[in-house]
Amino acid sequence: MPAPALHLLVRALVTVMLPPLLLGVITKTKAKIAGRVGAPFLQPYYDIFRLLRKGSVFSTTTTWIFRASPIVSLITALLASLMIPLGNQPPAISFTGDLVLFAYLFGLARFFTVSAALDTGSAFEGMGGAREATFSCLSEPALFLGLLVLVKQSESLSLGGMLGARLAGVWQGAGASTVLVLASFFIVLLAENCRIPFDDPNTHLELTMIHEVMVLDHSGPAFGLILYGAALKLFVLGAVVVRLALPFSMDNAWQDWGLFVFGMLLLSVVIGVVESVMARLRLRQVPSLLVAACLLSGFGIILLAR
Amino acid sequence: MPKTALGFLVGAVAICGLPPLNGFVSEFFLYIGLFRSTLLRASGVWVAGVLGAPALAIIGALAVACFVKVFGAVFLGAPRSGHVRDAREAGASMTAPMLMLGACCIFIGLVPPAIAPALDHAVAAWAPEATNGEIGLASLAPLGWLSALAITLMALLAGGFALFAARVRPSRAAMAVTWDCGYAAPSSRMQYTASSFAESLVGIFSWALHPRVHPAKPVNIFPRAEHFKSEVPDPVLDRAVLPASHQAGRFLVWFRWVQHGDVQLYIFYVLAALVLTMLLRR
Repeated sequence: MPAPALHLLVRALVTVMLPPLLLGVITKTKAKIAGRVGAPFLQPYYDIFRLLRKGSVFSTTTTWIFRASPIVSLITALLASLMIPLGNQPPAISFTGDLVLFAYLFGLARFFTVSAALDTGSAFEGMGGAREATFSCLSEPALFLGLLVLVKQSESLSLGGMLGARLAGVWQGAGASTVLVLASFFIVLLAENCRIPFDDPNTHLELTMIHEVMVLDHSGPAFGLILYGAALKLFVLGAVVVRLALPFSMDNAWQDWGLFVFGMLLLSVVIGVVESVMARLRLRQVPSLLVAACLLSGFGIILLAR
Repeated sequence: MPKTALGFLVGAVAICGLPPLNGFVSEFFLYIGLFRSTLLRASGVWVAGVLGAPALAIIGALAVACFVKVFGAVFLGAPRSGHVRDAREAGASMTAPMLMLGACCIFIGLVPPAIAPALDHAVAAWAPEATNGEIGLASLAPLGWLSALAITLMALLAGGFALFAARVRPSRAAMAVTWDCGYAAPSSRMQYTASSFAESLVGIFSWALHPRVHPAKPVNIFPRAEHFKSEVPDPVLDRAVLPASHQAGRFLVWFRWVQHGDVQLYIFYVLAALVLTMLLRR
């Protein structure tokens, strides 16, 4: 088997298999810090398979929009995963301006997730949808400002070029702005995936939640797909952060894969530690943190403008 | 009203600039231009991109919030009034134009190269010096990739939904009322309304929007039934354009004697204006 095809196969396997493990590592980290044994690493896989086998309950007010939203979230995350480099491995698809499609695919998923929340007619899900729509107005510019810094650094208009082999050189040349973008993207990662300090995925108090409250009414296979889609989104945005933080290339491709998987697991541990040492922010303060993320990337651009 | 809802949904997704519809193709051109301008060495030009791209991102997210709000408040959830509950689909003469426009949105989104030549003509007519008659949109933006990925996305969504719908049929699934945290009888009045959906977003931008709230605070130990109302006046129309035109109207009253309804005199105005321009021309 030729090497590029083999690595595409590895890429597909890693993309499909790894995401739930990240959730497992986060949960395990939080449990260890709290002094508990915690659920097994593979618990998210068990959960997803259990949900996929279960029956469904639908609300009588829902329409096809409600049933379409898990599919939209999953498919858009899968397509987005094709456009990012995994570690030192180039993306499966790369073209000028793919970063715009990358960002807007998540916008499409958001449109349908919030619509599905409104489809149920529940007060709580409407609340979650309103919060999601509000905070995305601040996390989107943060994402685009960060991408602008990377575009300007690499002089490339594709994610494969921006996060490609030249990234290590960029770190030496413009390390300060790269650090700022890395911090900004980490905040965006936490916000987009509804982790603490923006949202608490473990809470069972509907009033305080954002993402989980929007999917309260999904059950069975639909909820399984939502869980998997959320894990995939964490994987995709996490891969960007990991590539920014670990821009090295090893001696051969297999070591690159190892470094990437190690980086993703390390990122999960870091998220777990953040969730253990912080409380959720008050909702009124969430916009401030997102604006801070915008400002970090904004300063990154100013540093490049010299 | 499934057909109207479908037509509105396609239009809403398109106007939010989301893939795989025509709005995304347009936003893609804008973003590519803005990102390219940040790479120019000329000082000053790249600032446009640095300010423009995040502004476009905010506008995109606001558009999603706005159109999800409209779509959700109008078409989704439990009916809020008897009129809505008894609403029926309009006739084919009213739904067909909508669905045709929706089909155009989908077609341009899926096959953007088909409209690139028409856009090239328009650009050449608008700014001939910028194109030199050679550079086409197709060479500036990867329309083939856009087309391929839009078709892939559409096919995957349709296929995924068909598979999922076959596996999870509402006819076989249990039906129940919406889960409202154990509350047994959720009613349509408990739903989020359009203004409650927008409340937190309006709160962030209250420095520009100045929302008005009319709270009626309950008084006494046994208060009467009270109402709460909030509104967001349009800052451009309600706060600038309408007051300005109102003031201008008061000022222009002085010239009303010119307008008296006498046709002969109007023709005299035309003659006077013509003579005046001819004199000035010389």
